[in-house]
Amino acid sequence: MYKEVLRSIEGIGIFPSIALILFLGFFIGLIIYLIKKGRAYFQDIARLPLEDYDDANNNHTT
Amino acid sequence: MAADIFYYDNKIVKKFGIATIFWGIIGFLVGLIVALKLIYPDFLGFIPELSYGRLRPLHTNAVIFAFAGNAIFYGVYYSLPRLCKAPMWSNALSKINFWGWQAIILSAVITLPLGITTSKEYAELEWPIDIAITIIWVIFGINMLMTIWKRREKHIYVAIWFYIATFVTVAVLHLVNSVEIPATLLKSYPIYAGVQDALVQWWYGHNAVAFFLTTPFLGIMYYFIPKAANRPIFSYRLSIVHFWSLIFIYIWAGPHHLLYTALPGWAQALGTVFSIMLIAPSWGGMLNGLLTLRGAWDKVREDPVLKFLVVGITAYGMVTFEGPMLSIGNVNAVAHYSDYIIAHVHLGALLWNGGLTFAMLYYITPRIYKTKLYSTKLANVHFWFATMGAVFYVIPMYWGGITQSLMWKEFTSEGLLQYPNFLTTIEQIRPMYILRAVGGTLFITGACVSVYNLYKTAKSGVLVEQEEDQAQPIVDHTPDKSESWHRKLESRPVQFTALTLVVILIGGIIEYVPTAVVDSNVPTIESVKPYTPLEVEGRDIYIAEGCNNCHSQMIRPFRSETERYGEYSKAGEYVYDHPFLWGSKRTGPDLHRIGGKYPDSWHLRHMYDPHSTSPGSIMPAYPWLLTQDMDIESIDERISALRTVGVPYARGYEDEALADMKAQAEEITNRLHQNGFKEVEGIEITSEKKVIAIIAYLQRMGIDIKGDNNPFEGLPSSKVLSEDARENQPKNN
Repeated sequence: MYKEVLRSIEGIGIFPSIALILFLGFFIGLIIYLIKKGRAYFQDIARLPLEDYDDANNNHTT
Repeated sequence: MAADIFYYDNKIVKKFGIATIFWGIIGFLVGLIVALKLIYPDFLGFIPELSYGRLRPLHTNAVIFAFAGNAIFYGVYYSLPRLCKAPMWSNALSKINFWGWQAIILSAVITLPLGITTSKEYAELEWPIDIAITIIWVIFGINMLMTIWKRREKHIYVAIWFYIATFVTVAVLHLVNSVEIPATLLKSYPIYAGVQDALVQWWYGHNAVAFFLTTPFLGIMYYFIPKAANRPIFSYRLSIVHFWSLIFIYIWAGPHHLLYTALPGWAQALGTVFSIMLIAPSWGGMLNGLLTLRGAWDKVREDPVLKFLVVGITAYGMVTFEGPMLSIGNVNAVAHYSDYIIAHVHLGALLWNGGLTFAMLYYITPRIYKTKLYSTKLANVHFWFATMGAVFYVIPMYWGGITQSLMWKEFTSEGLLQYPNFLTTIEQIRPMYILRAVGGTLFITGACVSVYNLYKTAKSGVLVEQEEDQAQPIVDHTPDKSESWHRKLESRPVQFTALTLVVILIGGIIEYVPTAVVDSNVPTIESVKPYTPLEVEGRDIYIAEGCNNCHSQMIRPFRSETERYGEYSKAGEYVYDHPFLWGSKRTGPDLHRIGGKYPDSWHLRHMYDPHSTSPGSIMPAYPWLLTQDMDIESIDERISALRTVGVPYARGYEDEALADMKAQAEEITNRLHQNGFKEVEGIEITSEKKVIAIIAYLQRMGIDIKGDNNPFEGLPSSKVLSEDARENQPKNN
């Protein structure tokens, strides 16, 4: 039965190619984005597990 | 603004810690027992419940779901509230999660030795337990996601992303792989058959390793490495790339478990390509963990927590290098079905999962008891026992695996198999089996030392049941406009979870859907017929006894295999196999062409005492198959269930099944009697015994493609196959 459902989707054959292009694009974009932002931009979140309650405001934008 | 004061629940952390180590020791011990059974097949006598085929799944389930499973909850219930600056959302759900999970483990401890199993690796538990797992897993997920929702820390730290991916993906894997139709209260058949079942199972099996034994432990690494070293993770940017690429790529790699099998070539190729790509994110994660210790290596010399973390992450690096290499065709051709794979998984299980788990136990226990570790020295002793135990386990298994596999493939100059007798190859590697048991014993000894050390630590302090912390509430949940998109995503748990789900679904859908849709992926063979009721019963006994743990039913298209076992296996031969029984390890020979190879009496004697037909065999004896009666009560329900999943038995055939079953059993029994086998060692051979059913199944295996076999010939039933099925019967490819 599930085969019939899947067969009824038109043009299902092109889905894999679309998915591949989308995700390759996503990864290349992600890497460019991270390089552009630079290391310093993420330094405060990287310290997150090390913070305890003396730290003033847990990255809040109050 | 005033900070909120709140309390972390350490009682649940403590409970999961105790459960982790308790089930860990049990799982390791069962592992040692099965290791000893491969050296001394008579070890523990011939008690059905303690036979190798039933205990091996208990070992894998105990170690994966009881030891590593409780360790995951232990890590999550400790780190998640602290990273969210909020206690777990519901203590009641925490408790249900804990006791429910333990009840599931207990049901596995009871059902697996009783032979109640689906046979699908790491998914052996039967359907009522599958439902219980779903409920408890969803409860865990709700508790986790609601805690994240109620957090006081705007950004969701990378460890939590891995926890989210774990929850989402394990849920999807479990649901898809467990689609089964119950025949009775404790027996079900998967809706998938043969090649499709194999693909779904290994998509599940591989990703159980990925999302149960890897991603949650990576989350644990991202929390505990910075905590133990007291410095932030080496590169947060790397962790972003690590996370998304790992979860995207991992889900595709499953078919590398099925190289050279009857699985369509394109699916095998995808599995190989994605497995090789997987080195990149895996090593990215490993390096991120190790490089966090830059400038802190002096601490590793003193702190047992860091020692276990470092050896764990190093082992992870080794295993994730080995995995992609094993996915390359010609490496896989040698390593698959051999003990090399057993070494590979134990390097991961003993040091990566074991190492990180023991690191957590040594880190958390003193902290929740507000005390110091009782003895650093003992922890160091444990560290060396664990490491050397793993080394003594893994190296002999590498050696033995390659040796045996090369012996299987060795030809003489005349072109004949050099070692035609499978037993010669087992004898050769027996010393390696002995060394492996030594390694396991060392590992368990170390774990016992840790139990003492942790117990003394707990005794020297007092449990801080409710640990106070304070933080300011989040005033404005909306992300800051000036922030970039990934940082915004990190403060949006719902979108984050949804995106994770999309990313992991892609690979699964693209690989699985074509196999389900396109008929040409599984060429049908006209002469392949469904099993007779007696063969169905025999097959169910084969599953219950766990024969598939040691015997494959998949002959790869190599000359070394076709010479030894016969014609290589075709996809179309398995269309009625619910579930598929290809196996993943050849402790004994392949059985796909066993049908007709030996007379019935050979199987009878072999089951009663393997040594009588195969001197030196390490197969355990199955004397109870000669004394226990087969299950005739539920055959009608099983035939109905099989029809529901797609086997073309005619409507109403279930009412005739019993008569067919009895007639075929009589025929086999009479033949045995005529050949002088009225009894074996005083045990009378009668037609209702289990051994008759298993003989029927074994003799049927792999003979249909010869084309001259009608399994239902001579049986009293009037109509076996449905008209629809006959009309739809595709032409021979």
